[in-house]
Amino acid sequence: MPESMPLPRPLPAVDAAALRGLAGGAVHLPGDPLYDEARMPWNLQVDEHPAAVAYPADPHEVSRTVRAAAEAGLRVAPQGTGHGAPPLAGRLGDAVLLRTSAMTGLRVDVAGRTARADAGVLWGDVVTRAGRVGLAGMHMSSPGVGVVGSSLGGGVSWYARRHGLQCSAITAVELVLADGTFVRATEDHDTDLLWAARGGSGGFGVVTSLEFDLLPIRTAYAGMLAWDWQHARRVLTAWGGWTADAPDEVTSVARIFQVPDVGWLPARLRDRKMVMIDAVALGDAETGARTVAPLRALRPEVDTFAQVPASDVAHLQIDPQEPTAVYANSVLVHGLPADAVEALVASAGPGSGSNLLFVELRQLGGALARPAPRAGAMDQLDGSFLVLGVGLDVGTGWSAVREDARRVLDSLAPWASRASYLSMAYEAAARRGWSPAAYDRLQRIRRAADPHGLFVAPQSGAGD
Amino acid sequence: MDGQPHLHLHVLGELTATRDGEAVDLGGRRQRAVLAGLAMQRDQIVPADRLVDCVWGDHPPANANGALQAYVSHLRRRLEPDATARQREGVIARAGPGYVLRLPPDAVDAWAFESAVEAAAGQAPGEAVCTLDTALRTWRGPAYADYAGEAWAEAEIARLAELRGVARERLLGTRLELGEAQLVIGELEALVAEDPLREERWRLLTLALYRAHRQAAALAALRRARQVLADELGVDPGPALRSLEAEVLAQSPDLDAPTPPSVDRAVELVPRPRTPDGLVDRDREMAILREKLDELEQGVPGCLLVEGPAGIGKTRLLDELRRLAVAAGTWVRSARSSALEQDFEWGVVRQLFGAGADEALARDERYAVLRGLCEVTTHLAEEAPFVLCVDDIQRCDDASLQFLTYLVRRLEGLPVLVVLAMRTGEPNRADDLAELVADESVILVRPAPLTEQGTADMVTERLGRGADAFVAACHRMTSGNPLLLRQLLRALADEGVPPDVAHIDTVRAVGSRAIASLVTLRLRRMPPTVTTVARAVAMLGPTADLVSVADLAQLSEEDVASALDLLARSEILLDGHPLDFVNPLVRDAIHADVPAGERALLVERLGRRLKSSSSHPSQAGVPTQ
Repeated sequence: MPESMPLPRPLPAVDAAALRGLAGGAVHLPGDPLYDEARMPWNLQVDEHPAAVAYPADPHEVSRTVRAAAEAGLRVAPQGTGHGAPPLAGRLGDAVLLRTSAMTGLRVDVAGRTARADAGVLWGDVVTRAGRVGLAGMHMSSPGVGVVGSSLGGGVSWYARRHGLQCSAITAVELVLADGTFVRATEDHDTDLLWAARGGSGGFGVVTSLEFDLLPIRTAYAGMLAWDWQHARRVLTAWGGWTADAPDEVTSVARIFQVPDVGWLPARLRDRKMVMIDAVALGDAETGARTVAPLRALRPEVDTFAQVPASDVAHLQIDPQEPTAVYANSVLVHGLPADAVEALVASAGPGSGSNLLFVELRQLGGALARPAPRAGAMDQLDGSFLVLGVGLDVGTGWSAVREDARRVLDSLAPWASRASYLSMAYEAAARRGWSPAAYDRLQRIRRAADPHGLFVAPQSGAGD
Repeated sequence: MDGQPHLHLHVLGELTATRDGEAVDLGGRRQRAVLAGLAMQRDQIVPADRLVDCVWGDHPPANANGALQAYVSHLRRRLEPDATARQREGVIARAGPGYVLRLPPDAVDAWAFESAVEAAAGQAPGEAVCTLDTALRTWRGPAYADYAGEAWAEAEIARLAELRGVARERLLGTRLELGEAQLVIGELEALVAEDPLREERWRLLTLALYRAHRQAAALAALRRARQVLADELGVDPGPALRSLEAEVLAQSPDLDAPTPPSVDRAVELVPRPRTPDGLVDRDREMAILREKLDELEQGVPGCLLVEGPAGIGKTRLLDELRRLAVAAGTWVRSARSSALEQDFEWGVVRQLFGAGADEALARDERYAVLRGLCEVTTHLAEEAPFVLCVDDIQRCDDASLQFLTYLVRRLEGLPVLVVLAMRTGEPNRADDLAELVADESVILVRPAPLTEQGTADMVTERLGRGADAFVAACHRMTSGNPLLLRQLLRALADEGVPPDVAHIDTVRAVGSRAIASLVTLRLRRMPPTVTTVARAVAMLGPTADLVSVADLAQLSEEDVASALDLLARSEILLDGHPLDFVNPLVRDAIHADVPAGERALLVERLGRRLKSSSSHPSQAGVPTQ
């Protein structure tokens, strides 16, 4: 029996009409003119038809929506931007998709170096606002990703190797539980829920607000180096060696990128196959330049490194910003020996036949390899690299994309960690997202907060 | 267009700049101070040491001139990003011992404001009202708001504030000359509350009250003025107020407004000229309105029926029509039907003709009345062609509707343009209305939903140029309904949402709310006093004015005035004029959103106001359900 549904529930009646008029009228049922507009997540690969889509604008409206859904025999699936929508596929037929995008409140406390972000706030908003007062958040690589969803799932930022996971920066969480009650969990109150919010992925309520620490970072040494992908083996081998000795102040990502010919990409890269390294180094330009010097020695064709305002770091990595249909899967690996680079290039590089948009190797370690000072469901990552395969449908169908990604990830099996980073590994078993003790405690907390399994868990939880 | 980017500097509020409508990041407060220091001196050279003074005051850094140069060069890069370093001398030019700002006169809002106030002084009243109204709308807050209290900015801030005060007085004074006595009273009260020592405001208020046939209130205003001046300054009112007092007591005919062709001036509803800001996608409709007005001048009658769903912009078109008519010197008689007056027989006719209809309405038999009213219309039209304008005709009382139908069939030879606006999607009870719609001589104007391009224009105006996908989402979520779009963009602007692709889902979220709940949501995020004031205005209905709102909300008139100002800037209330919501939907939404406890309290206070109204009939509130 799947762990996410511990108790039997009544059969769903699938009648969401009772929800009409809630959330200030922002409830869309199948057949409504705006239903299709409202149900589409950022990741357009997911084409779900929930029983209703609601956009409440404050905790009060969330609570009423949750209660009405429960009364109507429906489940509730909270969703922000829908970047992480894939695990929800096929599970929303009897659910109200509760989208949090209308909750846009954001406060930055300069003196306390903290931010309070409501559930609809995007990382780009935080970066802009905090940047004005000389602060930075541990944002994701894409500014369009929501703060709440990515924080609940862990959150590996450009500052992660020095400062740990974003979820460890959370100091308070506000949420509506399955019975409609509103809770503020802090270090002093409802500590279990705060612990679960730190990397527990959700599934225990609708989070309406998060408070978290910001960092006093004004500038960073950041940029991209790029080579034609025929240099992939040489560059990735050198980069792998470089990461072993790199200081915690630097976080980097290497990618094999088959750049499509689309408008949002820099002209000089369009329609090319490249190997790229993006990196962000905390500190001054001189130190940063010294740190990346060994990579520059590999004679890149493109070199954009410079000391930049921290707010520019959110726009460093080339990612699609508009809603897009993408497939993604990942594996955590220990080390990147020559054999691993060989296997990777063979499965994703020149001559591999892979059509993936990119395969990314995200450098972990540093603070990510040590338990965070604040206890949480996820407090470190077990692996020295996160290998992520991302594909668009290039006309060969999604199963071909999935197969391409699988080939890459399987080729790295000898070095794979037991653990998975579930925010980017949608098909992995839920149990692998946490330590066994953390997983059990998380399940207990979810059962207590949501005894009847009202919430659709963010992971599919299939198999072990 | 010369292909050059259009750079605009805004100093009436916080200092900001736009380049082709896009916000320019001007950097920190000190850096912006350089620009402030330059803008204040217009085209004069500002010595570097004065600019140093603006930036650092008494504590300049060691290498102040070097630091100043750095700020100037940063600003140049921001203001002229496309130019090479050498070319970037265009806007902030080096000159002699300092710098000078080289911008056309209309590129800085304060400069443009000043020229507009000057220009208005030489214009005909209708035109002057438009000019002043437009100019005053450019104010977003106190001038150079970021530098309030700075010694170097004080004089200029005070000068501009004074100029704004004068402009507001002139605007209301001119509208008073146009016969809008009743409509300007609330605003004059607000002006007086803001600065009770300015005698011109008391003079205008007194005059407005007198012309609105509220002699007791007019004398009371003069007493209040005398009291304030005595308490605060220990002086008597000046000669202008003293002679006004004498004239009021003597009921001098000199106090009467200039005479428009009209049988009864007192209830004359005179055109409310409004500026066409943000009117998009209405070229076709405006062409019809212009054509009909031109024909009217030639003596050709006509009837227009503007028809469409709530929020499509019918009232806006009527406003535009009035503005055009006034500019052309044509008189407009206006009425607006309301649910409140639907059962009040001849209510709309009385709004249109005032006491001029009394004789006709006194006749016994319905057709005699209709004939009488037609005679009144004919008589007026013989003096000068005019426009007869009725908004929200779907709520018109049956008797008045019967007259309008009767009149429309007998327009031939009468230089009268009848313009009616009707909201669709509501049950029409009257057969007369159906008959009117079916009448072949009636020209139907159906304002279409905004196009995607029109939506894009409004997005640019409110939020800066929007990403295509962002604009498309705005368009889909609002179905091109201008009111919903304006409210959506206001909400997004309030939250500081940038119009980029990352925020498409924010548009979906906010835009999927109905107009009503979008407004109440925005109101809930404003300070509590503002919410209270909005609720009081909604509860009071058409009789709301500064005094009655302050009384009902139990707030000071100053607080109410600033709350009203915020509500107008937030496009919840109409800007100035009689206190009214931008749309009846908005009023109803706020009214319905009053929590039960607060509602009970307000109803009780309203009741008390009504009871004491026998002594102040003109200030009585009318409770609404």
